[in-house]
Amino acid sequence: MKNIYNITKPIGILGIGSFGTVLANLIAERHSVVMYARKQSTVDNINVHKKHRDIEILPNVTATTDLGLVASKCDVIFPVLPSYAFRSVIKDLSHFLTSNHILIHGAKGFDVKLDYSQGPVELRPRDICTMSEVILEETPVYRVGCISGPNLAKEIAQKQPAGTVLASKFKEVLAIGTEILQCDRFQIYGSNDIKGIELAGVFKNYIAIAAGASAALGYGENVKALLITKGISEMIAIGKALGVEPKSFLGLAGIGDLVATCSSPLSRNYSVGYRLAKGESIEQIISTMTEAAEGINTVKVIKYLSDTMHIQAPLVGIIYKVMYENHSLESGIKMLMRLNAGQDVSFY
Amino acid sequence: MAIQKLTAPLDYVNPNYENWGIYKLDKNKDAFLIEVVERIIEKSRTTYPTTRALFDELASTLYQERIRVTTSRWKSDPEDEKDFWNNVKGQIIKFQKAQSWEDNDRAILETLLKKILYRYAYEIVANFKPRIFELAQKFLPRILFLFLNSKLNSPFKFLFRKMSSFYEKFIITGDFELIRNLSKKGTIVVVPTHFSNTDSPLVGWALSSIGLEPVTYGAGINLVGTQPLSFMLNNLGAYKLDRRRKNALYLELLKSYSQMAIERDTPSLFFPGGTRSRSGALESKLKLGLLSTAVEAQQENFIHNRKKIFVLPLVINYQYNIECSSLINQHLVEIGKEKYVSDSFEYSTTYKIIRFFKHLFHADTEVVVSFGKPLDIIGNEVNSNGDSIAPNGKPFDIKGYFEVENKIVRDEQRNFEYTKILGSKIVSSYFENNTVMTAPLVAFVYFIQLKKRHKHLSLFEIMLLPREDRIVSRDNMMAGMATIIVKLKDLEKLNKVNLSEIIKESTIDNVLANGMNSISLFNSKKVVYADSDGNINSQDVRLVYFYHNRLIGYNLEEYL
Repeated sequence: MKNIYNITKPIGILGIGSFGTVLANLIAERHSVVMYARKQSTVDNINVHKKHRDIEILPNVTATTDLGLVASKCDVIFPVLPSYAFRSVIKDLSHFLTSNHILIHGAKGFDVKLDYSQGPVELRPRDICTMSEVILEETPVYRVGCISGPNLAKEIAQKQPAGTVLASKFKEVLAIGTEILQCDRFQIYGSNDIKGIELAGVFKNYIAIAAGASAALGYGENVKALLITKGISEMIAIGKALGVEPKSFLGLAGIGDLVATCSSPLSRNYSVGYRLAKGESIEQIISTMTEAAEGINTVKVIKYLSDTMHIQAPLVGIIYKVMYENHSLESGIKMLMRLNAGQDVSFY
Repeated sequence: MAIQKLTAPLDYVNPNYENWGIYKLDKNKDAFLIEVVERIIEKSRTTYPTTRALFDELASTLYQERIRVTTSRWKSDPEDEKDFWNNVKGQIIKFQKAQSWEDNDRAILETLLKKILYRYAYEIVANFKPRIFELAQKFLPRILFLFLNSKLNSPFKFLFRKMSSFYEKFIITGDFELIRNLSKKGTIVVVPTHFSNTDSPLVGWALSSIGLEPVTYGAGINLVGTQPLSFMLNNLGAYKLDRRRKNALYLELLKSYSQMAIERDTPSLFFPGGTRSRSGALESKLKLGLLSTAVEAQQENFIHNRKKIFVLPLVINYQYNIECSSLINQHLVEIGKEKYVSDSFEYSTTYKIIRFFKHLFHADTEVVVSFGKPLDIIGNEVNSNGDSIAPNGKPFDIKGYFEVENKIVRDEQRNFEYTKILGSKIVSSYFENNTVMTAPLVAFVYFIQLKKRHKHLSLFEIMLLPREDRIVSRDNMMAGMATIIVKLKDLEKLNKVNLSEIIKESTIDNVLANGMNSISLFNSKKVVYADSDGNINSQDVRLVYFYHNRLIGYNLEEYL
């Protein structure tokens, strides 16, 4: 597609996690970038020492603690935030947003309107928002997109080639996002199914936990392949209940991301599963992680949702039992093998 | 300003008809049509970039038109139609034989394109004659009311009564000051719900009652072709749509016409549901084609620093619908296919005809026309300065939605997404401004109870239940009514719906009696009635289903 957009204003990045940081560097190869951080010390590190999370920061990346400044300087902003902080930061940002802004997020979690921290609750689709839905609820911005795909931050930081899916209902957002993100080592695939792409990015996290655990138990490629393919079937079943078509799960943001996160110790969710299998408790794991592993909450949300909606989702049920109901991993594997397997491909 | 109820007609915001958009459009008709056609020609250079592509489109238009001319002729069709399309055919063949696909031969095809477009344009174009408008304004509402209205012992006296007393039975509500203010600042696009053929004149009357100038709107060319309606519509600013034509050029012309009329500050009206709601339900899926022309017009107005466009949702509520039988029949045929065998609903016996007229003059009922909050083109609410209000409550400028880095970029796909957003806001407005009346309420409670009792039966099987299986006990009916009225009152407090006075204030007994009375008014059968034991039954479950549909979408079913 011929790109008619020439973006001259700086690009905003909200979030200073590892993916936010590599994304800033990637964009900074052709655009100036303004990053938002809450702490002055982080801002100083980026502005003065040009280093953050052991990653060298390119010269045309600057940081600020002022959300208003990001909104006034940048028309295109990428919120790359953990889902638990997403709504509150977007709410703060919304005071400065106008009809000119375009937001393309890179978060892979849910925003849940009910409190589920105290135990199982009845969750329905209306209680769950994807991140783009949070943006639409909280801001005057309609031109919203998301990026999702196999994008392990460390590999991108090492300048290895990678691809991602950019999804938006607006072709304009796809064209502008591609203009900003695409370079020789970062390929952008477009999709108009933003919700499907968001869900694919969220769902794969709990499969990655299972894959990590399976690796820790010494299981090989057969189990991994079983987890990936049956995981995809389960993701599609839950996705259908939330009103999205299967196709997005079969692309780079679905299978693609699943293959990467289920194979790599670099994935946070994978390492949660790995450590769980090695005997650590979920509380111990959370307390020592520097960045959020979205899968930990996703397991609960999907378990409660599938129970309420009577969706067949055996994998998430087993992972939930192991994580929160003190079942041993071995018994989890046994449960998996005793399932009434039924048809192989049943989602069409 | 709050929502008001109109007690007497308001003066025109713009008293001089020579300043009305629709009058000016009529005055400058030829220049306007030239502009419309030129814009489409210009656009066709991008849509059909090659001579071949343009040729294919013209050939396809010819093909479809020739089928229409031979298989589906209407009285209203012009006589020279066959000759015209034969002539086009001749030119197409001549061009094809020459096989000249060079770009410099495009001019020949563009001339042909222009010829077809002008023919369409003059067929569509609206006329507006102020004198006929004045006449219609004086008598049309009276005739309409005569058709719809209350205890009339002498229809002839009624024709010459003072209009102000009609506002008791024909209730108009809305924030009139805000709407009138906005009509000075921008161009109004009215988007009403559509249930009956009486909607267009009713809306026209409601608009003039609150002092808005007349609107232009699309009317089926078949309607325009029937006397004496044709004469009225033809001269009151209706542009003519031919639903048989689906070819791309015709649709493009229609859209450009509508869009450029709005750009020229002509207040317009679309029924975004497309046609009358066959099922009786509030429109929840809108046809976005014509609505998108308002969004496109706003983009052009921003480019040329012209006016802002305000969208005005409007909900019309009748206690009963004279056309209900044929509407629900069409709906059931469509959704039921082989499961539903339609039978005649017509008034076949003398007794039924007498009954119909007896009710016509003794009916005690009302019509409510509710103006929703005016919206901008993306569906945001607007204040009296015409500023859009962001979700955080602050006024903001929506021009940026059409811009990239502060420059407006034309983008149809983006604008269509905005149209979808606008559509969903209009639907919400419909539900919020819907006024629940007794007839749909009674139908709803009765039908849902029947459905829940016969859970294992399909809709079509329920409709065929024998009389004894259609009984809902009076106690159950009263309890159901009480529950739903409480829920409706809760919704009303949240501004999610309106309730008619009788539901708000009267006893459940009265509401039930009023509902049962109203729902059967114009029907030969008792749609919902109390049998000799006081239990509730129906002689026509199809119509119950039709009226019950009006309350679908509020999730009230779960409480019964």
